[in-house]
Amino acid sequence: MEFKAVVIGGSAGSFQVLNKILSALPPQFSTPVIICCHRLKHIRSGFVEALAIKSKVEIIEPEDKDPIKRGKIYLAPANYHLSAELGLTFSLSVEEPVNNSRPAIDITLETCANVYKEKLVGILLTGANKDGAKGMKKIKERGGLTIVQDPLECTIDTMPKAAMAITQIDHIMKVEQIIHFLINLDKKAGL
Amino acid sequence: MSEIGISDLRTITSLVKENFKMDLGIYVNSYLIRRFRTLTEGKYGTTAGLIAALKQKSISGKEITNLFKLSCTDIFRDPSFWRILKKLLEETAERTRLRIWVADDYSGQELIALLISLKESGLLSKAEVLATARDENILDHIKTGKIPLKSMEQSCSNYRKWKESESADLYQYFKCDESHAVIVPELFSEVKFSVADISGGDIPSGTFDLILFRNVMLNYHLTYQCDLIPVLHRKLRFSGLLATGAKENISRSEIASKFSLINSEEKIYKKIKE
Repeated sequence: MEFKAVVIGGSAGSFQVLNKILSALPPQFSTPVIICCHRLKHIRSGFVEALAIKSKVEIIEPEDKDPIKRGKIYLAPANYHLSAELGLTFSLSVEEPVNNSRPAIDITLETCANVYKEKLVGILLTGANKDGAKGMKKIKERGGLTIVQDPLECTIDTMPKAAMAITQIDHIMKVEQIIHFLINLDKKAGL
Repeated sequence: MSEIGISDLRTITSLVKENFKMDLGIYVNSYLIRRFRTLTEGKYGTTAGLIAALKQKSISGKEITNLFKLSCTDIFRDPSFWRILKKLLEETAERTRLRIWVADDYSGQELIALLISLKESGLLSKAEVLATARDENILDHIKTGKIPLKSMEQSCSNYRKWKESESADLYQYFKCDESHAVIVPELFSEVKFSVADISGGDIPSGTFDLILFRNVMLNYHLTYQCDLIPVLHRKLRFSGLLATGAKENISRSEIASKFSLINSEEKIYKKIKE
């Protein structure tokens, strides 16, 4: 199976895990990675810059209607919901928070599932609320592959456990396993 | 199942157009799906239930337009934007009587922040402010000046950041009942309200020093966004300002070169060519 995109969700506490994953991706990593991570509404800068220090792949906060391109990592901007649209573009929204969150992981995951269907990998990391669980369910229903960070390794395991409670998750992985999985996935896509 | 697929969405938008002459084709799919989900997961139970109600014409146009009112209000969203705008308006007011258009509003949050900013600059009585919405129902909602109390915490925090003062109190501009904060009538007294479908040529007369259009285009298709920019350009005075959301971008418009981006963080554009 060739996957066309990877979508990752996590709460604010997942920064270290995200940083570890992104910094391990090689510069030629070409599968688009779309990240929705809970963050402070009023701090608009700093997050991308912090992740970019170690990442060898360019990290971007998309603007509204930007195209989704290969070889880029996209991070949902502060205080906007991030959706994927048919035609492989992003749309942003200032609609009501979902699960008390804007950006909401469920929105990003669900819209990516609608666009990429079985060609999508969804990954849910450590987190303290249930945001992302419905999105993972949608990815699974659409035929995509679902992965959660091993709850035993999570600082707070509410988020992956909530997804596991409502969906038959395909893989439960530790961070190192997620890294290996992503690198192998991209190698196959490049064949 | 309350899942709304793309084909369901096409059926729904087609029925809405047939029943109420509303063209929802201007909106992006993800936004429409989320708005209609409040009906399929609520009153109508399922997507099929909503479609059946539309076919039987047992759903009102008001129920549809209600979907597009933003219940979550975030007054002084992006406090840094409002600090910059305050300075720009004070400078402009030294040269001319301000004419400001709050265009295509959905919640009233931008209008309220603007009026408070003008009031605190001593410009409220010296400015002509027009607020338009695409629909009478949405406009009526804005005119009430009612903000759900649960939304006020974030707005108060924004206001303190805008003022750069921990003791700044947004509630001085509101009277509260059990569930809402209601704007004091003084702020709205000089505002002109009207319904305007910008793309339909139904636009206000005259030109403006500022068009406040932040985060409105997000919900629209790119082609529709590009249709709107020339209209907004025409309605600006030379050197007039167009404020879009920080993550919106007019560079894809054919007439983008007629604007200069004077603040890239806050996406404030100045009209530099007719």
